Amino acid sequence: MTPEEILKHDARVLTQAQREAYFDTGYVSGEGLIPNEWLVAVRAASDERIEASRQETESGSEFDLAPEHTSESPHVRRLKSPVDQHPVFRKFAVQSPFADIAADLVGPNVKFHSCKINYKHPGGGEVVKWHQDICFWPHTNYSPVTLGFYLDGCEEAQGPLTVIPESHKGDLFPHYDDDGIWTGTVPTKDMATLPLDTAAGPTGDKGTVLALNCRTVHGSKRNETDRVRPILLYVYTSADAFPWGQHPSSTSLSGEIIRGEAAKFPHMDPRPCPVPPDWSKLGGYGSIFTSQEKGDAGNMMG
Amino acid sequence: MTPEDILKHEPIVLTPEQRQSFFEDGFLAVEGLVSDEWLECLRQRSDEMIDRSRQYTDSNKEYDLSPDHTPDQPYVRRLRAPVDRHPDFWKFAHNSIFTDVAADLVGPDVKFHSCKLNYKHPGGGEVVKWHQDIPAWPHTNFSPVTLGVYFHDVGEAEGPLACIPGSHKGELYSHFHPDRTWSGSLSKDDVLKAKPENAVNLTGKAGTIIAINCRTIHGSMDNKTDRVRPLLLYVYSSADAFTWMPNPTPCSKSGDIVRGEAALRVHMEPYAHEVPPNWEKEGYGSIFASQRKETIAKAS
Repeated sequence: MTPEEILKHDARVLTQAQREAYFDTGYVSGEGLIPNEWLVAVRAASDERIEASRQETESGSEFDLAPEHTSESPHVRRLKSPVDQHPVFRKFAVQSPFADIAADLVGPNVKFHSCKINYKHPGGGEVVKWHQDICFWPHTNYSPVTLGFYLDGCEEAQGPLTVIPESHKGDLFPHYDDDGIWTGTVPTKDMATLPLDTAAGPTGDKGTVLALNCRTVHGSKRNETDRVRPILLYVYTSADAFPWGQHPSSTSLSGEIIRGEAAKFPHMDPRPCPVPPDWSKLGGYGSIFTSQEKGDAGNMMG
Repeated sequence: MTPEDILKHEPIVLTPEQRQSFFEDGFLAVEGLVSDEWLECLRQRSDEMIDRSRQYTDSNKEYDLSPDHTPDQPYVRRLRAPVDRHPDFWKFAHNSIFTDVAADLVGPDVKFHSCKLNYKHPGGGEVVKWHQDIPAWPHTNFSPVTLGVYFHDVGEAEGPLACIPGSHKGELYSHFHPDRTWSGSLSKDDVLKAKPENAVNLTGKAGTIIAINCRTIHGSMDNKTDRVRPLLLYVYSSADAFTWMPNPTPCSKSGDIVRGEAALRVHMEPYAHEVPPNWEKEGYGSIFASQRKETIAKAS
């Protein structure tokens, strides 16, 4: 669906102004959109999983662990596919206002794509360089939206997710280096063409929701505080968007219609999109942290 | 790539007229390109595979067997994914005249999609109703081409593949029944609109290569002879074409680049046609099974 078609449908959770701001700038944030019961339940489920990570010594299908992770002092960088790790996370994807916010931004027919919870620990371990999400998981159109909420809130010093407003209206940049190796980040020369001085990093109390269009250039700085900053991130799309590459982080809910109906026809947007590596032929996708640190084995021509 | 982009590249084996006619009509048949050695090799591999089928009583991932199949009287309707059955079938896909023809029709960067070996037995068992290929395995553009090679001489009586000229420039038709289960063929009303009276039978001597664009409406009649008519079919696309639904007939080579380079950017044609069933969830038998309602696949 196009933004014009989406806006014709009545808003469910967001205000019309918030929806218009999203389409205009490529992002929107709002406080107080998640009821407290959900916040408490999701927080408790997250704690449970972090507790469970103490038994793990290496990254696997559930956890992306930092090298300094120990059973005494867990250092989980990412909880992978949370909807498959705890029923609360799955319910939250389908039954919470999150899915209605998604409907406000992608239209009444909503498909689930993927999810994760990122934990930004004190220090610079989880800096995320500038990137565009759609370059990792291309679709037939640009309806995909990443919805995030800060489990404990986020202040300026905690490295909030930061976006370049209106960058979703510009180009998609190949996330490769000059040798064709996947870097998971926009090349420096391309970043120089963007108005970095306009970058915005909305902060807010716990439950602050951030919506990010899949083309919007974004990243996040280091966490200067002594508190971990968790953010839950779920990706939704219009039902008429279909992924055309390998899914880097598929879940059991991926591709499921969670609001409205399945699409009878696809929506194909002809704007050019770079091709990601074939994750299935590279032994799987690690995480954005591993890609941006050393470059996964993602040789373009692989 | 668009036909215009493709035609800018020098042809490898086809003549400029043959390529022009493919893009104009949506199909092509060319005799005399496949060497006798290759033909003999393919026939032999095929015979071996038929012989192997004697050990099975039911269709499986290798064979689509007719209900009439027995160990004494093998009746294979389709050998699935031949490139995974013998290395010679794969060699023919990526390193033969076939690959050259593909490059002439989809451009220098060629991706392999899928393959099968169909056996049309005497009688009406393997009639294939009018259909288009792309609705079953949609891509981001219409470059996909199905290349076929006849193992023996195929005349009118053998139920040659038949194509409706220019139909690739027309409508993309629904391949669903009214109850939204997959039919694998055009409805009777749509067939009338498509002017099947103009259809051309692609006959030819052993080794004739046929090429069909993924939108071209095609089918085949019954085999009125007493000989089985094998047809090896491989699907190729431009490297910049990407599938956006699960492949109904995947093989280990699906998605491999067999010529040139991988695409840096997708080519997305802003078209819309019906979303096929999700084959990963619904399962895919074969076009015979779909068209005869032996298998039922619902819309997503």
